[in-house]
Amino acid sequence: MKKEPVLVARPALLRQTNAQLLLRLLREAGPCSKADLVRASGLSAPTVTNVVAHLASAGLVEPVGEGDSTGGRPPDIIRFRAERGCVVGAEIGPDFLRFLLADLDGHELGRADSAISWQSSKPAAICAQIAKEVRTLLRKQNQPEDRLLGLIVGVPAIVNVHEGIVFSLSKLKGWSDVPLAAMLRKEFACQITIENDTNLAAQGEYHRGAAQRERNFVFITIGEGVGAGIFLDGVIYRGSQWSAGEIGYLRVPHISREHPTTHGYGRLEKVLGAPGILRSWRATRKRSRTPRKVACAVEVFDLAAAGNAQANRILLQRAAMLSDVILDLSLILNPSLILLGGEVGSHPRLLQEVRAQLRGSEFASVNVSVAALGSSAVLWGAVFIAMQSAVSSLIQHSD
Amino acid sequence: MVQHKPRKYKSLSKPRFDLSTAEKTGAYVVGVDIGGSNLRIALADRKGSSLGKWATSTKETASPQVVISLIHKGMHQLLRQTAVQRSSLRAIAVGAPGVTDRDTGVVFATSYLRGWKNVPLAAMLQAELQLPAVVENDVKLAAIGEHWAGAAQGIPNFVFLAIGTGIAAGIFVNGHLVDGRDWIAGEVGYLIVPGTRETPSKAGEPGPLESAIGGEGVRQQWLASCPSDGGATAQDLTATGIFYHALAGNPKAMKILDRSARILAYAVHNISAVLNPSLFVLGGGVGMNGPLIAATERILECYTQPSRPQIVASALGQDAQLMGAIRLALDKAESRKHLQPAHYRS
Repeated sequence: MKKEPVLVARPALLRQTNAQLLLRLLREAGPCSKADLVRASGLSAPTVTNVVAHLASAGLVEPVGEGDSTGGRPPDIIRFRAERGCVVGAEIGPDFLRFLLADLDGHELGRADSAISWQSSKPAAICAQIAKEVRTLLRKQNQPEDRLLGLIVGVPAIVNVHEGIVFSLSKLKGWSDVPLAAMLRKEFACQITIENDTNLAAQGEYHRGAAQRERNFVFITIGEGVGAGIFLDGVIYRGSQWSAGEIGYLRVPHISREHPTTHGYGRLEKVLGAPGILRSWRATRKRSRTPRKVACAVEVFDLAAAGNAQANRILLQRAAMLSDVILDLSLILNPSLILLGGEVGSHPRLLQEVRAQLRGSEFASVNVSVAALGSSAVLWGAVFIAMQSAVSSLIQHSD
Repeated sequence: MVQHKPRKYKSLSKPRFDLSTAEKTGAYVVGVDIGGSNLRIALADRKGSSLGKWATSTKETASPQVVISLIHKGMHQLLRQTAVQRSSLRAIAVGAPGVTDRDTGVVFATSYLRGWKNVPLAAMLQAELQLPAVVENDVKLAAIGEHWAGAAQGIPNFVFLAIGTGIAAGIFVNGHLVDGRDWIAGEVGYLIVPGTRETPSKAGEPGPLESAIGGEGVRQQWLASCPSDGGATAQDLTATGIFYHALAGNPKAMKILDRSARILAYAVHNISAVLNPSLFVLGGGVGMNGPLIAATERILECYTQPSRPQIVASALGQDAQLMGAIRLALDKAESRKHLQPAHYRS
């Protein structure tokens, strides 16, 4: 029989894999000795010595003196140098910019928020505002700019992640096919990635939120817009033209027919999102004799929870729609978990009603629960991706 | 001992396999498709070329045991017919019309047509045939077939949508099948889209999408719309026939075709909004119908957001499942030497 060629990992690749493994152990367990690393990793002592030396030359680990001896020479204790660099996660919202600065171990170093107005929301203006805010944040936390290793920006739009191009962003001025990564590279020398905000939020929930260890799940966000981040086998799935998870365009029953237009909201999004809920509430108020003003969609759901019949009717309609969406997603992907996020999507009364409606359905035996990170999910997702790629590139470049 | 001939005598125009001699002691696999009404078997060489096929009706036979003995019978007929030795068979792969755990080879449940529950088909086959056996859902097999040798070659993200009596999808993401937590990913016959029944189905019933555009559902609409005045031939029409009647200008058939195309377009659009695949490959008797595909494409032209779905008819037609079974059997034979191909699981 013909012998098949056996794939052998190149030494450099093997060393990178081992380096990632040891770093993970160091981060999880805290400072420890090489002997501990040998035990925990299953690698040989010479390999661990070799890889630790490699990590030290990349500035990622350092010795912190001697540990307690168990008879014999006291072991050298080494630790992960989380301060080797820092990363920034950023989020562009319909009327805000948010930033989170973290070290390489994902510890929060600082945050910043700033408002954006329609008048000054052109790509160049937003880019300049991001640069200014990031520099201020770094300065406040005493981080020299050359220590910034990664900047990841989440945007509420379809994004070509490879090229860093934002396709279209209806809430801001002139955002159509914007090469945001290229624009930001003129400001910063670090790695820059642009990503869809919902995909980042899903990453955040996967790394430190309600979807830890879930390799196949769908994160649904309902706020101003409606979208989904799809995790398959532990990685985000973006589709062939970067538009996977754009469930705002789903056609479900109960919504009148109308074609989704370019730069506009999809059909489902128009009704299920916060503006649609407010529209329904205002329509109800016109008819009813007990007018009551609300400031946001969440308040409508709060009223429903407090027993207001009209608000409850609106909530029940949304729960029915969302149940249909979850049913469709379950039939297509059969995920282990569906997480609801966004200020509307994570409302406890909505979850309760969706669970009740899905109970009768054979095919939606999926776990539905609420996301854990709230409005920070996008930022945390961004920080985790930035951390991972910063560490990988440090390991690679010191090879 | 292999005799090494001098290279210069090799001719490119010669057939690659000489069926009469040495190649017959090489490695072969068996692919099987258990359909709703037919059982089909193919014997293939290690390159996947089919040496022979065998088919029989399974209309009267529901039990797994009977199906397995039919497979046994067909396999031996094929071996005799092609003069391949029993000992050179390496693996058998079987497509089952239902929810199937590929890892354990258990068919959890088949459609309302057959009614199997938790049948350990791979183990039964292995015991009966003394051959490494693998079992997979038939629609997923068809998707594997199209990916390997049909309309989706080289396309990592695509959806094979089978529309016959029932409806289901085989979904490829990043070059691998999506299975889901309970192996039911792609059971899209139960999708709810505008125009379908809006209450979820109970177990054992056809789903809303199936009832609306599956072969039987279309036929029921036709029968309801032409009470007895159409004569015997009109009563006997299948979905495909009804759609061709629409093309010929029959107003009732046109109405049914238009409604079916509209609902199919909704389903394709919805799956596309979730998965953004490069391509939809339509298979099955109804799915491959020319007038239906043309009408659906016309409607999809308006659905450009978030991305415009592309649809094509299956290139392998009714052979898609068998080709997928051959591919999976080859993988099974290979897996004894290498690692199993990766698939997405929960």
